[in-house]
Amino acid sequence: MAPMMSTMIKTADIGVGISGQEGMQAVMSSDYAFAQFKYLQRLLLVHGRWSYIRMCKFLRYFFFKNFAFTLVHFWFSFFNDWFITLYNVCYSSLPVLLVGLMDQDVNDKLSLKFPKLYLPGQQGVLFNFKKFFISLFHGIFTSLIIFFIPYGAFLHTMGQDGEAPSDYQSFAVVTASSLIITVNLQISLETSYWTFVNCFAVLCSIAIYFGIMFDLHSAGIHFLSKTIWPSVGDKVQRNRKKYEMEAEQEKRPPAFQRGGRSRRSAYAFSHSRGYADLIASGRSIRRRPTTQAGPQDSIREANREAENT
Amino acid sequence: MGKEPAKSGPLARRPDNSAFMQQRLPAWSPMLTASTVLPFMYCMAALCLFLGVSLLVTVQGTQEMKVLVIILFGDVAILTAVRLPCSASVFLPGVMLFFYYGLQNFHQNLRKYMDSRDDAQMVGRTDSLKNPSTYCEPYIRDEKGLPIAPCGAVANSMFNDSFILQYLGSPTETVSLYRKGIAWYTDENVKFRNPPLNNQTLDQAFEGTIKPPYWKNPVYKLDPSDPNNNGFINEDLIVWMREAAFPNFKKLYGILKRTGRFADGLPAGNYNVIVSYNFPAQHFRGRKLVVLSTVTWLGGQNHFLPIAYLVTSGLVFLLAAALTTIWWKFGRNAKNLEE
Repeated sequence: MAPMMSTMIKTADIGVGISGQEGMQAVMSSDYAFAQFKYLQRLLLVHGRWSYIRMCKFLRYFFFKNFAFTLVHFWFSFFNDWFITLYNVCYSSLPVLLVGLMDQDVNDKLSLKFPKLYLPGQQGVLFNFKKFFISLFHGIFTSLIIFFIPYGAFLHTMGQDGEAPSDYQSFAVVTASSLIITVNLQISLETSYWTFVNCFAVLCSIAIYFGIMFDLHSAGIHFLSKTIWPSVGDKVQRNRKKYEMEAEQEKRPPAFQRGGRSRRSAYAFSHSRGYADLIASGRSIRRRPTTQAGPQDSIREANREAENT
Repeated sequence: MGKEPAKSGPLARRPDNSAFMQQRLPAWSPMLTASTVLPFMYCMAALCLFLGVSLLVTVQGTQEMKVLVIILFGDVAILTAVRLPCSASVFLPGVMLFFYYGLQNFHQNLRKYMDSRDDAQMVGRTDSLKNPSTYCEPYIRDEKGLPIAPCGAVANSMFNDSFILQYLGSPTETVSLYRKGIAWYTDENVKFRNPPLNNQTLDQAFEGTIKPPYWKNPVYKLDPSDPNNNGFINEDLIVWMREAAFPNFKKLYGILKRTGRFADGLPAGNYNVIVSYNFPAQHFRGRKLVVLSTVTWLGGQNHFLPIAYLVTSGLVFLLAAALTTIWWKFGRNAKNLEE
């Protein structure tokens, strides 16, 4: 009885043992131990509850604080330096995303054959505080190398025609390029299941980085800046078709529509197919100036009509 | 619409049986064993060693001479007795010799400073010439409202010392330097262009603009000796506008003209460097340098890279040796791989 009990205690989220006449076995393998059963009430209702509330508050605030900090940098990068945004979105996210979706260290048949492979997950071997700090220090060490080796190499050197490569643009490009290549090489070392998409993602990230960089550093900046911060003239030009359509609309007097186009209650809508199709097909946004829907008799007719268009 | 109609029956909501959805994509799983990793590491160590040694040998072939410029008499500082080392020093046929000016403690990499320029104006756009961009504040217009050309703090703080190198042989001779061809090709030909002339002279093209406050001469009079080196395409201006990354930097001033006595480089002996001291380094507690250097395919004198390569090679070799020992003692029979 006692061995089974201690196993049960160990596998629970919280193991509570009551010391008593049957010995101290349960107490030794439990998280909390006390002498009488009635103390369980206080443990659960007071301390357990408080602990849960505290942890939740802590975590929520922690994530809030960190997102606030990180996203400040993110918004700054829209106004000044695209590299910060683009780094986390384009240059380094795709390979690791694919690793997160598809990585296999051992294939499925072998995983079934050797159940002992399940143990690392149960023991929390692959991610714990120690591993987290190792990653952290690895990142710090890498950043030191990536910055200080170009720094030392460029500080006093000269190019072949005499011009110094220690200008801001050259130094920044070399450092950023070595960063992108290094992190992509690192994810390549960690990938243990190389599908075609993994290979494509790694090479594509590096290629996109160089492509965007060439564009930003050349006269193409004018094109990019017009797309992102259009002048008033550009905006008018782009929306020209919309303005023309609106002008046409105003000419036609609005017809009296009794029931609206498709009357569906939100309840029915969300229980049938939801909004995804509607949004994806653009029907809810695009205007159709000509059709005028008559009054709807039943919700089923409205659905059918919506489906058929 | 987009989705197929759902099949009826108990298997209606089954996910696709494609390779992607069922995690069966064809893939290669690399296996890192000692027989592949250890030779790779030894090769890397050897490669780094080779690179380090060859770079070291190359760097030993360059020569560099640095002189600190101190203000001596008013505006003109004369540094006499700059004695070049006698032996095989700067007698290098066919190798270019460069004359640099250096500044210390001048932060061209300050963000607001770097933003304070108008590249559209300096590529020759007439509308930007008369209406400089607001990034150039406060060096946009002067008190009378005339636009400044070139605008911005970077152009305003242009380095305006001039140097004359004299060889104190018999007779004392000025060493002539090429003062053009010192900027990057793309800067010279693409990024910096004068406004279109349209049968005017250069000063007429700049009509209605005024020089930056710290300058002595307007931009179309920067180089009286060479009419093609005036305006925004003045090479000293271009070299200055390429901001340096660090507070201690060097910028190219001139390249030795290999004529006459200097056809084989600078002969050993005493030299004067006469400095017209205009740039006030004491305001930012900086120092000025004059550097004469030869370069090889690697660049000027910089021992950092060869040493870095040698250190890396040593570390990789040590790591590889440690791993080899571990493998030899414990892993060779693959006993602990059995299970």
